[in-house]
Amino acid sequence: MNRLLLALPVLAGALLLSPSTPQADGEVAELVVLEEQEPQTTLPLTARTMSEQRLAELLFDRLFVQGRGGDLESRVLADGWSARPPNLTVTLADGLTFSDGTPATFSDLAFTVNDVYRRADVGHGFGAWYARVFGDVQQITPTTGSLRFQVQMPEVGAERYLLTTALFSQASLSDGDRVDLDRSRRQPVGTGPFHAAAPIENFDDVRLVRNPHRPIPARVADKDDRVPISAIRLLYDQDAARQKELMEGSRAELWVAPPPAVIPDFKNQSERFGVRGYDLNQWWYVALDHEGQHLSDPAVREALDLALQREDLVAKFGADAAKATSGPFLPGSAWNPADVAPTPHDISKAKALLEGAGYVREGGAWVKGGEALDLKLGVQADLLDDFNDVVYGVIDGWEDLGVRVRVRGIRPGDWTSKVEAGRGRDDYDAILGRWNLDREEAALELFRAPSGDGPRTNLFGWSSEQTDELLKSFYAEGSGPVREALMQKFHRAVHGDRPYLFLWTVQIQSVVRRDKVVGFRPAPFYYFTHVDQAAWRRSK
Amino acid sequence: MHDAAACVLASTDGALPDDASLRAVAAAACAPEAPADLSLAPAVSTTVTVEGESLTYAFLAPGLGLRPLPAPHPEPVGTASWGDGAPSELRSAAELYADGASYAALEAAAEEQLALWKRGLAGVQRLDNAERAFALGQVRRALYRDLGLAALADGQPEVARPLLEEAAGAVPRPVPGDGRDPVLLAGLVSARFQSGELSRAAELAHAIAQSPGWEFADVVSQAVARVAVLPSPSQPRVRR
Repeated sequence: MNRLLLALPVLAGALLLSPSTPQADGEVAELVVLEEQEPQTTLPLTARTMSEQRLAELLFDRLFVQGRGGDLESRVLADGWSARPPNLTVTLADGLTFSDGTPATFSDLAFTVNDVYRRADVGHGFGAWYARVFGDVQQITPTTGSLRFQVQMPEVGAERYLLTTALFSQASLSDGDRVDLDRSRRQPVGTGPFHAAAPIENFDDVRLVRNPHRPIPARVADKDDRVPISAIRLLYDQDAARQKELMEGSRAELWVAPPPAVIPDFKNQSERFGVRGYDLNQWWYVALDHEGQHLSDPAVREALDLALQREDLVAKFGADAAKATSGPFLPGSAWNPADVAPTPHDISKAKALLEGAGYVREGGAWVKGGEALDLKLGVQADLLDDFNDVVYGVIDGWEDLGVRVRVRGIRPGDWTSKVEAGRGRDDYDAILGRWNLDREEAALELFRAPSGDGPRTNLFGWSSEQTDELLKSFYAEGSGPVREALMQKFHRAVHGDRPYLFLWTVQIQSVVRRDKVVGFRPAPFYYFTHVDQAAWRRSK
Repeated sequence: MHDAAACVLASTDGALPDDASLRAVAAAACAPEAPADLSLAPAVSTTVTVEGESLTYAFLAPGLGLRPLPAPHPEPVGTASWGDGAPSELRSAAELYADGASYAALEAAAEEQLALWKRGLAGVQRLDNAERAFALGQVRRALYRDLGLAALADGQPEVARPLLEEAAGAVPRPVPGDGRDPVLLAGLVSARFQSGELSRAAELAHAIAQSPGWEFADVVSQAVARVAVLPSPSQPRVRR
């Protein structure tokens, strides 16, 4: 792959960027945001990547969000929602209006839950969960109605069930009686802080303007030192070197997920740049096809694990950004057992395991039954571009062992159409990627059978009787200590069976132009939750 | 911390029983805990007593050359104590915090103060650029530390968190060390916890616990880690 050629169209577009001048009278300045992969969707419920989710956060409101102080807040619902099990009665916030100027009514909320989230046949993977948790949503007045819980509803905190639910406009997603999630893909309609004033033509360069129907928060509107951000531009798919140039050349104000290695350069310019932690629960892995010709043998999977030089590769991220992992739960988690450590590098033991499994060295390769131990490794394309040295460090470890590796980048379209469709093994024996989780429990999704027609995150469909039983017990268990013990067993079991080789967790830090932008702070996992509070700094 | 306390006791008349071996052990504790020589301006320092421990901090007064600050200061050290001999335009963290409790306002005010410090340091001919950058970096961290701790004490963890992250050097995984005292890091643990960054709070508490004398922080780390995995009813989210 020629990265330079791939990057040329993007570079050409980026060269058109000029330095922002937010204070210039009469000029609409755009906050330029450097993003990751190009989004394939603008809807939060079909988002599969973090960049898709972040775009959706700008366009849509979730019913509840966690405020900066930890309490639950809502921009969509008026204060004073009431819980009388099994119903949660809510009223839409006064004056709530979609970005197309249509007033939001409770029928939009009823449509959102009844016709979108609870449906398993409209193109997302959440139908089963919503249908299990919620019954029909009932409208009482044009702006008030109730959500009925089918699971035991707590009198306090029931709104926590709705932290991941966004509000949709019925008109924008309906085609007659049919729900069409693609209908407004290029010009989505939500109540979020920004909207697409014109249909989005290029998804590698998305321009949004402030939702004119959304009030500007007082802490921005009432301060003389701030100018509201009226437009935002998201640039995708650029390599890290170019993104760094754009930041340093005053052509961008926010870099969402820079490679950790570049952070020290920005810290050394602390008058211009601020570094903001972005709590993501991110971990990297190599998923192995446990049914593959060679990888079905646990000894081979362990040998590949032992060939990885985790500690050396972790150091490539720089600044202690990465830490080696031993399983799905991260170091320091209550579910991470203290007696399970990341697999140490041990090439002698790896060779012994292969020999014990019946492999012999022939012509520099490990051979068994006439078949050489070759691996087709798929790598998420953005990782191959931005973390080339780390990716090839993994491959070098295997080649040092004598395993031949053929590498192929997986573009987002292939990821969706092949890997998440359960056909990854047609092209790959192993997949190197990373997951971002909103909390520890989300890791369990990766080891469960897929349901509905949504994306498949259990990449090669691995399961075991032991882990299935542990999951079943976990979901039936109410005791914290027992759940903790079950999850520690789960971690051990997955570490031991190696459907994944667990690599490391990476702590992401964003870079923001602190001399130009005030009040911007990423929220954990849901990055743009408080973007309303950000503003241009007015020069004195 | 234990060593520092033993060292203080060894050098205080009557603080220890009249036992030669005990005194020898206590005196030996002084060596590893000797005040760090910043080599930049070791004479410029102030000594304060915190929780019975005598601690020495080295600082520069910008624009005034290498003039020692009055010491010992009776209050906990911080930017509040710099005002005693510094130019009048320099303001204490307490004053800055009182003026505006939003993060944006505090950051702007802090950066203004740092610009003053920078101009002052530029006039100190005895310093080269690297030393000026080092000094300014230390001042930046001290100022953000005091602002962050003030916000935390004021019940504003969401304001305190980014201030304390900045004070800790804006590194992904801060650990105790130069410029990262336990009070700062413990404050950051609290701010992260109260802001919903539970895993990061647990991780930092665990890092603090690796320092001799601070092992108890692991108890906090474990408690926070357990809160982080309490059942949440919302549907879990996994993203690429």
